[in-house]
Amino acid sequence: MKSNTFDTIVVGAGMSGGWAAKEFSEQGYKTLLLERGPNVEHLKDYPTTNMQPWEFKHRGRLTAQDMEENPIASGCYAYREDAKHFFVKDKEHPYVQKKPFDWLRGYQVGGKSIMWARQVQRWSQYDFEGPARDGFAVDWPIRYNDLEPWYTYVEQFVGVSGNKDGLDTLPDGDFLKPWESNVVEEYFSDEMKKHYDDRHVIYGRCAHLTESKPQFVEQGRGLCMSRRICQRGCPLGGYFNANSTLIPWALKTGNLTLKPNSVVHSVLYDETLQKAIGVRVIDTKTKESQDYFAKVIFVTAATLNTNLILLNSKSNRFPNGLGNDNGLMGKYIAFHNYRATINAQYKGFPDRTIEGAKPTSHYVPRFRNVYKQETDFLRGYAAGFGASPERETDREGFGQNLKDQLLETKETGVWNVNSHMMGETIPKASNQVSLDHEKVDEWGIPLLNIDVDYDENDEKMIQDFFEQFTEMFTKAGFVNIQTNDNKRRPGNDIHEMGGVRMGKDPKTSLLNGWNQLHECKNVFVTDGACMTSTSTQNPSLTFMAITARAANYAIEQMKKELI
Amino acid sequence: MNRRDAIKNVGLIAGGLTLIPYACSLTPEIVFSNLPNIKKEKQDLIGWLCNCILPEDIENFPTPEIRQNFVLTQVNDCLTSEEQAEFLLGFENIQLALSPTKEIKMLTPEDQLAFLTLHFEGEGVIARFLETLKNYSLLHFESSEKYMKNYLSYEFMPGRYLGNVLV
Repeated sequence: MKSNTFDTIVVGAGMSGGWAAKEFSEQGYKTLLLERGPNVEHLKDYPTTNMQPWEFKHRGRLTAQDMEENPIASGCYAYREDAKHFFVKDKEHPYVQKKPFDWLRGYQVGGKSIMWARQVQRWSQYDFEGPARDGFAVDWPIRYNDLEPWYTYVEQFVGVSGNKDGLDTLPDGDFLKPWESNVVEEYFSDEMKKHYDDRHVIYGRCAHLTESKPQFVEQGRGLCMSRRICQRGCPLGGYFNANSTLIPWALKTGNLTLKPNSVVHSVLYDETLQKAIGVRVIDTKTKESQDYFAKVIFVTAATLNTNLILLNSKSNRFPNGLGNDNGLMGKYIAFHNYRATINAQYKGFPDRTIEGAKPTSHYVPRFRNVYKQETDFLRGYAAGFGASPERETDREGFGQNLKDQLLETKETGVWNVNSHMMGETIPKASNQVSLDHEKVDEWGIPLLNIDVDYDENDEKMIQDFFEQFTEMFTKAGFVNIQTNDNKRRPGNDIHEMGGVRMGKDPKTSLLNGWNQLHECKNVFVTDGACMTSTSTQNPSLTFMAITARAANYAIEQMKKELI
Repeated sequence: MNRRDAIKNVGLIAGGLTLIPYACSLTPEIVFSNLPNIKKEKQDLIGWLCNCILPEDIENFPTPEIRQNFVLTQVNDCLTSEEQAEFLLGFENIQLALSPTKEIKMLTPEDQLAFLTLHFEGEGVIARFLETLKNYSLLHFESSEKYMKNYLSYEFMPGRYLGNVLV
């Protein structure tokens, strides 16, 4: 094998690319895994992982200069003193915002899997059937049953803590034991059962190890100790990221070549062979260009960069981007609407509290428009739910009194409760990304022009969340209820999806049911770019399941020499 | 503030004075890039004010850095240039608020208390200056290891979650 020729090339070393690399290398295929950012080795490259709060110069806060220079990145909840080194800085990698859009990125081996929120809820049949039933986007070419075994496959490797809840709206998986619920979480769950047939408050399934299993021991991972500083990288491997699992697993086979600091400029298409033959890579340090070749190429550079690479992969056959005969590439971008929150207090259980900590909260699966259309907006929302004892500290005054007051800090017996909405947005052609015609980055690649916004459906959904959760909180006896529209910009949810959507018809979609470009079958897209619609659930688990499924299909096709 | 509280605070301020040589004057001058005119003497005065606002307790609540260096670091790094300008104006004004012949440290403990009470309750730049010192002093104290562990139930690796514990 020549040094620049492989069986497979995977673009992007996040959790989607990591899964493709694992599947290929594990099954004997020489694989090149390209990552535009630097390497992050598990354990070695988590510089803040064992720092205590008092050891941070600014106690976790951001400097004024950091805030000023990074208005986009600093809007992310995890961009703080302890983990900001894992985020792309605004100035380093600019893009064009036709409308305000917070593009939050993690350019390193492991990608955003280092800093992700670790919530892993399966999608349901209602999510995959949604576009066809409600007449938006296009029909998914797959259904829940197609993905079900791959969800299990991924969960068993990743490790997912959860309860078996028996809900058709949020299918159960292969779970490790859950963390305990607290009294108010249980109370709210029971109250909702009393008042509603269709509203469930369950334990939020999360990618944390609560039990040891042989596969986790083999990965070198230990149990989660609930440090709740996962965004720094976990020295125990207690939560799943690509760095502690997929990448070392694939490297151990001897079949993986990991190449960080390698920006993919484009996918190379051979017009004689009528297929892709490789990728053009620019070394971020030397700025030198190098071509690499393979039979199969997985583009998993994260949703918007996958769009960018494919749009920039121009040839005589594909002048508008690889596989983009229908001109739809970059269109139908959608995301999750996290704008609505609600807070309240509960005065029950004044003699109860919690001890320790857990890395997840509770979850309310979607209950709007599930079985039939019942509102004046399409689709619906899931929601997080949390409850914690209130602590009171009197910080009035100054001097010795103030210090004495601080030493008398105590729990009040009141519980603070909160919920946030996770709304499905409807993919539209007008929500799109494209290559900027004038501006290029430091490697000569066109900047991405992002034109994405909320619409009337999203606004109606926010109001419905306020109404429904105010009603639910009131029925539960919560008081001091306050709703808030945080006005966060699209993209801040970090759940952008679409642009290279799956579908049944090459005229209206880019990918088939196995994630192959309709017009170039040896190129697969399995990250967020492939998503036809967004559902309400955190999408990472679905990206991983789709990737594992597509990679194994690609292996079958390679064995049959069909691609 | 009632008389009993005031007497308690006077005690603190007197105590604060005795702490100054220990906590501040022996420390070397630090150059804060955005506060070039805040030299050692003024750094010490800010430290002294912080100590009046919230007594530093190095013995029982040790921290990686002394209060004045922590507070000045936050002012230097975390305030915007506009906020820093207002901070410096407040600092200048609090020094000018006394007669030209007096410094706050020269006042009797009772007068120091009265002076700080008066200005804490105001609404101008001095009040905002004092609030800034207070907020960063609170952050420094409340993020100390002993306070977090002994008063906020902080655990680095709890490894458990019990959701129904009797208070």
